[in-house]
Amino acid sequence: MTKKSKAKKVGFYLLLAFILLYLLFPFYWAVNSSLKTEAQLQMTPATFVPRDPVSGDISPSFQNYRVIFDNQQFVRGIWNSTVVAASTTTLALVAGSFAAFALGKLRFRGRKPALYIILAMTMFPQVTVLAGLYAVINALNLSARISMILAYMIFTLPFTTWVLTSFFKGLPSALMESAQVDGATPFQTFYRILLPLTAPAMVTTGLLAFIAAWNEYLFALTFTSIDPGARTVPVAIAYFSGAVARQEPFGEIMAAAIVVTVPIVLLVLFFQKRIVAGLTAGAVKG
Amino acid sequence: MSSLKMVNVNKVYPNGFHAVKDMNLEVKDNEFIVFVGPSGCGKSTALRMIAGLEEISEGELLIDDEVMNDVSPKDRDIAMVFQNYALYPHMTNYENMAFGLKLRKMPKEEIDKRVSEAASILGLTPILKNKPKQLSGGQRQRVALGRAIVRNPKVFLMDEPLSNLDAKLRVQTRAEISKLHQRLKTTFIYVTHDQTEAMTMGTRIVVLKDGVVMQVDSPKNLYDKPENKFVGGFIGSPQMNFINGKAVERGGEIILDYLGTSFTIDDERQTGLRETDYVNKEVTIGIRPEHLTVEITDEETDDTGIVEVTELLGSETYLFIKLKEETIVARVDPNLDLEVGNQVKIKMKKDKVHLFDVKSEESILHKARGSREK
Repeated sequence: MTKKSKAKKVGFYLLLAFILLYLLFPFYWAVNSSLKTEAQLQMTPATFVPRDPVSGDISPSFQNYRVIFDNQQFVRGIWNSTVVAASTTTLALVAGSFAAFALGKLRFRGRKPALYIILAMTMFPQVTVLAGLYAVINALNLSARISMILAYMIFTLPFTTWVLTSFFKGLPSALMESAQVDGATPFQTFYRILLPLTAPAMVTTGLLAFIAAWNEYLFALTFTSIDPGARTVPVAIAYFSGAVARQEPFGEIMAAAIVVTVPIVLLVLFFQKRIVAGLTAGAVKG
Repeated sequence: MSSLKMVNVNKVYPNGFHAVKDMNLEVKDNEFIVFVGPSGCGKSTALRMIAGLEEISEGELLIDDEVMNDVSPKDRDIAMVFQNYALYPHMTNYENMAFGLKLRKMPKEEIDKRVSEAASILGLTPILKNKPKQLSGGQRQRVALGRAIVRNPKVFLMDEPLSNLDAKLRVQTRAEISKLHQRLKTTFIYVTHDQTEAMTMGTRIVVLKDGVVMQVDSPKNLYDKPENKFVGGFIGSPQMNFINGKAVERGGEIILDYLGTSFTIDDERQTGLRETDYVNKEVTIGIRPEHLTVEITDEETDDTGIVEVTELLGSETYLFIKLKEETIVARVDPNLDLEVGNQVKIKMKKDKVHLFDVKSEESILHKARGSREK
């Protein structure tokens, strides 16, 4: 190995370490803070692990976690978020895969313009429609949960459609034709042949849609302003109040943030293997 | 009994490309028809129109005397084998073969019976539970064949099914498909660009060029009696030699003048030329490399050439002989001790000479036969 390549390697790992630190330190700090009591949080200098203010021994406290799970708003928020994010994801995948099949595999007039309009929609600033949508849901008297699900489709659907379209396009047309000759209707071809093959793409886009809906704050805050019972978890956390007036319940907020992140991390880990696109192997010579 | 008929079938793509022009074909039951031609000749398009995967722009397609133009592929009672197999990767080989039957709501026992029967014919029984990706190319192709067999269709369509296999496997599978045809006694329509496949498998061959049918005939007739210069050149390897010449009458006999030399042709050809009025006209002479005899000679005459290249193939030798400005290929016995630079005398076998019109490239003998029939 030459000196130059060695230096390159060292540089690479330094960069890697920096990126890791940059990404993981805030998360680590949230975990650290969530395990501290109010008194421990006030310690200066701040400690890298929760320590007893007097003795200096390591002493993590689960007080914050106990408090947030006693908080009805928070527990309800998790439930609301789950319902909204799961419904959004399901709807986006169903509608998105239909659209993607048509856009990726069928020939019709206006296919290209349709694709570019969809792409343009993914770049749409959502704030611009917020006020208008609020007026619409008020006029239609829609419940806050339904409103959130519909509003989240504004950003999940174009994205899922776009990604799935390119995936459908990549599937060999001969598969479709073969199914057609075998006697499958277009829907059977879609449902029984192409859809199982898009599973990796479905999982990936589904996860991203779920995360986007799970983390969404702006629409949720606006739409639940008249219905506090429908607040999703990000909104519920923002509404955390301390035991005394004007107190910022920092430890609880950090604990809540950790609790909210864990399901996402678990989902990604669980589906990790399926996110590898390799399912079409063996379909055609390649 | 199933028959298939194409009447003046045309395919014009939206971009104006005319892929198939006025194709007429009548396929009888149990025939093995091969569509052959260079790439882009419309052979695959023709097959896909029969399958229903491609719309027919003009003309009619009949299966068992029923017009099929607007019938969807699944109702045409056909099965197709694709070039790249097109197996469903998420299904086992069994499920791949059973898919079409399941869609037709066939009882499970019947599906089971048909699949295991097809599997035993094709030697797939041990791998029915595997998925396509675990198989070799040859096995995949057999699963694709199996998927077609279980359907028990009126017509089998095959689109270059062997082109993805290696040379040895191709020869083997070629024989298997021929056997399958004899066993199933159904109509096969097979597309290939490989003339060897066409000649060895087909009972009748359809030669296409630029969307036009050049000749429909048995392999032997295609070889012996090409109806035009294209078929003469396309069928046979190495390719037929084409030499420009002139038919002249001298002393009551018709003689071909070419490359500064001449030779007298047989009676059949003489009559043919007379009947079709080609005497004293330019013609293209076609002669296959295997119908030339080559002799070493010391004496330089008008009809001697120089061996430029020799290609020894073991069972035969190809000679590339420079004769005036033309290079002529001859296929000779490898025991003939010929070397590059040898001076040789070339002779054509009189009864194997083909004659084509210079412009229309039509075979003059074919024209003569046609006018006699009238």
